[in-house]
Amino acid sequence: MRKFDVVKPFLYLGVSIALVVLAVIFFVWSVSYLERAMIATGLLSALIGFSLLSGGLYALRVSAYIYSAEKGGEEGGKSSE
Amino acid sequence: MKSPSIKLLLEVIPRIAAASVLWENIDLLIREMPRYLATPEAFLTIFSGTEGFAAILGLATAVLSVLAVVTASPLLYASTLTLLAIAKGVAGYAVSSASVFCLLLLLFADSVKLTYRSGQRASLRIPLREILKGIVGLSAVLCLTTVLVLVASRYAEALIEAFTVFSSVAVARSNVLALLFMNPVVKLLLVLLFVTSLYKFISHSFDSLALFVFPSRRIALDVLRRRGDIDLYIEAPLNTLKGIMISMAVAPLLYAAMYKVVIPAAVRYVPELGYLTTFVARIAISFLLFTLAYVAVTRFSQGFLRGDVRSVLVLSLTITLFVYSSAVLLTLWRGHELVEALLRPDLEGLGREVVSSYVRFYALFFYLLELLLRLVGAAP
Repeated sequence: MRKFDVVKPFLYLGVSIALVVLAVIFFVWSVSYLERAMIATGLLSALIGFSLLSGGLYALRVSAYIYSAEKGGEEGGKSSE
Repeated sequence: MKSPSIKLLLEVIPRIAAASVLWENIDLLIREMPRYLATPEAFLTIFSGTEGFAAILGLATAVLSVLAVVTASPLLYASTLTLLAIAKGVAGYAVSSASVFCLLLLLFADSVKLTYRSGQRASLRIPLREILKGIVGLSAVLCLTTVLVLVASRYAEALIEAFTVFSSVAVARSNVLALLFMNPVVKLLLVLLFVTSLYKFISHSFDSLALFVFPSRRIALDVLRRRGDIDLYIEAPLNTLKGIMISMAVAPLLYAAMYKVVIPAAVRYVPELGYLTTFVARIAISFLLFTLAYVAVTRFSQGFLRGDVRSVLVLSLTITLFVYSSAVLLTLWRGHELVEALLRPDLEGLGREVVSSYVRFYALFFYLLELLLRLVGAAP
């Protein structure tokens, strides 16, 4: 359990990085669809990419704040100012 | 007497660097200024020529670069570089490594100037480890942003190329589309949209990464305590356009259900509502339904993105119920039993009505748009 607590923020970090990587893949796909004149498919994959990017950044943000709230607590007063 | 000199250096060095980078423009202004002041007519004739736009841009960058050197403001400096890149038409000129380095210098001086108290140098003790950490951190940030921006610029290039390819396909089909897609302004707009979202992405991720590197409990708790601070979203650009497009597909559905099922039913029970089938009422209702569909679609997509389960559920259930009950009513009128109508509503029949009303709906819609254009004198 203790070990899981240490890993937890990095788990969120991993999820967010995976989401961002997926978003990038979708963006690249969208350009390749546009090149083949498949406009609607390209736009749709760009939209999916944006949603994934938004989700990934949100996860990154939440994980960063939770990590720093926990880590800062362990260090005591030093980092709270 | 050592500390005032540092304050002075922080003021002077960025200005010298900016001046050396932007000297060409300032020099242009100095050389041309007396001529312009002596003969205002010559000044005006320059702008009326074929090179007018470039001349205006050149003059604007020259004035801006003087302002940037005088104020040493990073924002002014960056906008000068951007304008310069557009004016020259060659991005490679403005984005030399010297100008980027100068921007960094300006930013550094700008932030140190704010917090530096005179005489602080004597009392400041920075351990070597902290200095090393700072250098490593700064170079990591620089490398990361440079790599990111390089990759992003390659992507933007590919995007524009793809845009050109598919617009050449569109050109074969329609002249209006060609006018839209082959326009350099549209391409510029596309790149601008891309850069804005990239900026949001970079600033958000550095915000979060900085907290990973320097965890601070106070800041984290401050932000986590308020829901509005932690819930920041990256919205896809052109959300309005997307909403309009999707509601263009949804609105005829509502229109068909309204005019095939709801209004006939209403007229059957309340004959006074017959005026709803007149032409003017149809137009008003079609616009109303379009607005309704737009609001519903944008709320739906926003709720979907933000995980607002209740609004997504309510909206999707409402639309599904509306379509379902219209199909049930349609089946009932064709002389089927109530139970059969509830169990097997004639969705296909409704679908046929929808397809036929797509055409009618947009005929109406564009008729009104043309009417509006004629009313204001924009169309013959």
